[in-house]
Amino acid sequence: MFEHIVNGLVLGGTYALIAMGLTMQYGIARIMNLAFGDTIIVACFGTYLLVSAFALSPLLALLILVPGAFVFSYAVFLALMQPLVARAPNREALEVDSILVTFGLLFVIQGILLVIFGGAYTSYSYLNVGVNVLGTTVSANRLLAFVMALVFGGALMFVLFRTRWGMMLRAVELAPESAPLYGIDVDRVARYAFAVGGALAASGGVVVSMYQTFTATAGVVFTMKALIVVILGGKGSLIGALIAGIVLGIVETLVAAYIDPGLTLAATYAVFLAILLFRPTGLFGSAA
Amino acid sequence: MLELKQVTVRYDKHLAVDGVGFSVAKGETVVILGANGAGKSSLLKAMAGVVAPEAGSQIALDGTSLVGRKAHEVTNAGIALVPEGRGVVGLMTVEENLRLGATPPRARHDEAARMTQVFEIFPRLKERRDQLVHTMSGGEQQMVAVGRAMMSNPDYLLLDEPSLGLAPIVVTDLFRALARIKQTGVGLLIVEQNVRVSLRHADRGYLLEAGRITDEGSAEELMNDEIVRHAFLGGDI
Repeated sequence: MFEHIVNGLVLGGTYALIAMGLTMQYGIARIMNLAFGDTIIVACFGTYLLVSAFALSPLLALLILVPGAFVFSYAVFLALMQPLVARAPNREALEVDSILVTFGLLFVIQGILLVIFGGAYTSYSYLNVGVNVLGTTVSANRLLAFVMALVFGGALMFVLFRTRWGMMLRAVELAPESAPLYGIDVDRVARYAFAVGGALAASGGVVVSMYQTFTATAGVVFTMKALIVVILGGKGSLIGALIAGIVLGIVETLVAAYIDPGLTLAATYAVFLAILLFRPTGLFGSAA
Repeated sequence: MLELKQVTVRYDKHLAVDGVGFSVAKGETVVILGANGAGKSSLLKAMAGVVAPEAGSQIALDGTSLVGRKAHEVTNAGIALVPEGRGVVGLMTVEENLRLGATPPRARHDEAARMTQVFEIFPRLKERRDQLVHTMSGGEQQMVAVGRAMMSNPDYLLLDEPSLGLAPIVVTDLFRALARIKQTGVGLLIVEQNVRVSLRHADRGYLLEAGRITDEGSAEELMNDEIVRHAFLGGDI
């Protein structure tokens, strides 16, 4: 039991990290990025490549892939999203437009991955040894993954709640109409929020690749799960994403262990439905 | 000097502001009186860069045109708007709202001193600095709104119906605070329906009807003006 809880925490920590990335892109930049999960998968394959071909540690891969994803996402925003932002009459229209464009982007990224890596399940072995945690054995790579999720999540929280820049990001999320009157350049904040979201996705990808297998077409599943976690936690709430992510990770792990691994996705949706029936705005969402 | 000439704002076919011109100097309080739908908010939004005025409109700050600048650029040029509905960030604390108000580069250098000044004008905000703004009363939220505008180190403060929804005694306090802000050399432009209170605190005023300026004068002249008396005061003060 305890072993499954620990594994659930590891998975949940990863989900939380990924969902925070989506919150940055959706909650602040108001871009519904359907290619979000594919950024995660690119980071998985990127880590795989660096580990297997260049014998780098995944921790070093992180130092390359996370800044890389930041720059890539910033460029994607400038090239594809900025024109949409400029022409959208309101934020609702921007959401719809961004869904269409990123849906296309999803297939471009997926196609490139399929050409380079093929469609097979891929993984690499890193720190695949057992570690004793309070009497149960957990693999070292999962433990490291959890620590990394904590570090990245904690760093994001610190930036958002303790720095002026984070305060500006939250203001754009909470009061997009008023933010410009405070002297905040909303377009600029949106660009950076989108890029930071991409960087978080990449960090999630590196973390996932350390303990899971992945395929070129698995991006959709990650996008979906991140979306579920964001909606469960309450749109725009980072604390909500954190808690919902961990709940989902534990539920999935327990269902896989005690009922049937094939039912994890069904369990995800059951939790999703159950919570939304009682709290339509999500765990930490406000009515507005 | 903040000067407007031939400012026109149009939403599709609806003409909200029609060729308006007036001026405000630093250290002066100017009030624009107008009923609902007269174009008051549209005028302020155009000045603040929130909506784009029609071609030919001129809005200039000390001779430099502001037309076409974005709202955050106008704020950094020295014009702070307290919009209708106050425009505060309700899910942040008083202090966070004030600190955010100091976002423009022109306000960064003496943020702490300005915060002290805001707390002097609104001691209540100092007591409640860690409170979430949406849990505060309307009057207190209006203090936050004015306070955060002051944090941007403005030369001109634009207020969109600051008295709306406030109890008379709260309105009196608010206008007293605005008088102190004026003493620091800031130019105040207030659009109001509350004629009595706003004229009492104003130097000059304009009357805005259906998007056009139809009358202007000193506060005293307007107070005794037949049109103003009939339009707003029921013919009797």
